[in-house]
Amino acid sequence: MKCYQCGNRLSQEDFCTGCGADVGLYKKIMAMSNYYYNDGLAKANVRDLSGAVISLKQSLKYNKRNMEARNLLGLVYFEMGEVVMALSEWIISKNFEPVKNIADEYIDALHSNPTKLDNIDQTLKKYNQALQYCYQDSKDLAIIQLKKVLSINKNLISGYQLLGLLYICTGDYDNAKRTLFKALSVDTSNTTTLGYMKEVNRLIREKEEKTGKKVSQLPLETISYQNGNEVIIQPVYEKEKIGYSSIINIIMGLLIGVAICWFLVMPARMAEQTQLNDEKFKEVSEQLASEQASKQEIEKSLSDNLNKMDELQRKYDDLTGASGRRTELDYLLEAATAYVEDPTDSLTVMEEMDNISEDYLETAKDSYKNLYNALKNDAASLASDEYIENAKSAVKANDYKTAIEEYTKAWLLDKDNSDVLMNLAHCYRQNGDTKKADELYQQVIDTFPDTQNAMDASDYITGEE
Amino acid sequence: MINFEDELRKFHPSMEIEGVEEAVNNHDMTDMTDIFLAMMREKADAEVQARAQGQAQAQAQMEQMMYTSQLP
Repeated sequence: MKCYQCGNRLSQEDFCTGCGADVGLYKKIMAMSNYYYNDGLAKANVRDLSGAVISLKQSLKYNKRNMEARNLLGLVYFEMGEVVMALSEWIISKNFEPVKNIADEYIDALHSNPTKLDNIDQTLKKYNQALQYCYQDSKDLAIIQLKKVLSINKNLISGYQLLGLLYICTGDYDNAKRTLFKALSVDTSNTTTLGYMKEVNRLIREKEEKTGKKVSQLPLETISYQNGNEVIIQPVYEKEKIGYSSIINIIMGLLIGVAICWFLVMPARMAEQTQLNDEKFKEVSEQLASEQASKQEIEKSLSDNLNKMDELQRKYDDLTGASGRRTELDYLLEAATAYVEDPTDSLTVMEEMDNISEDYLETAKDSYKNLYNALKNDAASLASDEYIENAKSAVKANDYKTAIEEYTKAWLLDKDNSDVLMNLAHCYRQNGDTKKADELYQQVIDTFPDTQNAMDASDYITGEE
Repeated sequence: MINFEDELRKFHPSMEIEGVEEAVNNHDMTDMTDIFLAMMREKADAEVQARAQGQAQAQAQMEQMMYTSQLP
């Protein structure tokens, strides 16, 4: 402690050893300030916030430079939801002692969170609005507004008190009591809150006496006890209803459990099972597809083998004659036999030999070719003559169709005979096919030029289309 | 019995953030120490005044005595 006159450190004496000033009363004032600070601190420790405010204010009335008291007062205001009051105390504190002051940290903490500060400001505005509603006798609006305020600023004692008062006035004692309980949990010894609580209890008792029914489920008195420096307010105990309600609760619990199982567990299990089934199905499908492919391959190879076997069987039958089909060898043998039996029957010989294909002749053995050529040379000229005779007989009988056939056969056997070709052309002309006849006449001219037949043929060409 | 109107008068609008400056400025900062110091100052002034007055009286008495001793 320093002398108020010279700033010298004071001793135990009641006068300043530096300047001789009387400091007895000054020391007493400082002591009183400290006493009230200690009292306020003790009350704040047991959450007697309103009591702490009174003591700390008293301390500051003795000594406005008591920084601990001022900072603590700010904290208590802050705890009571009175942020602006808290801020103003901290600012004053900082002005008195700009360095090494914890108020700095408090102010910084508030300023560093502008959102929270803004929210608090909004709640204060709403609280003032609610107060206006009260003045205008709009209690319902005021209650709604205060509920909003207290949902954000949960320690605003004046808010709880006003809400409790409104509930009392509207006859909602249960809610009034709950609200006042909350106020007491913040500030345990607030006389206003306690007064309202007492009034609520009295009103509840009166109502219960009148109606004979239990009005409030809450206990009439607050149960609180002190544990060291802590005042503990027992939470409101509400006896749990038993009987039908418990059965209903169990059933609801079961239903909720089943619903959770149905909506959350079952879909997951079903999805898992479906996935497994899909995988199995895919596996089986792949196996089936591979088996089908192998089966088709086997069937194809079987079919190929059967075809080959049929082909071989056919060839075998052809070779052995088991199929009844006549071969080139048979035709040649037939022709040779006919020639041996009757050498003049050249027509039969040629008919048999006509069945032998040119392709076979190309691949046939030399002995076969020699026999074929020998028979053809001998029989061809005879056969040609015979065909010509037959044709002439048919012409005499005006059977040009037969004549054409016979001359054609003769021409095929002997292509050096221009008369045959000429007569064939005549037969076509006589038969009415002048176009074909013209072709053959032209062939005579082209094949046998400078012959009489060629000259005659040029006369016969009609040029009709 | 609670009277709503009477109780409502006890509630005052809460100060908003904008009002901090005003609250600080209007804060009554006078404390017991200020009063004590003022009293001390008044006391000291009174003492100085009384001392000066005493000196003046003593001087007047001295002059009176000197005057009477010079009379025949």
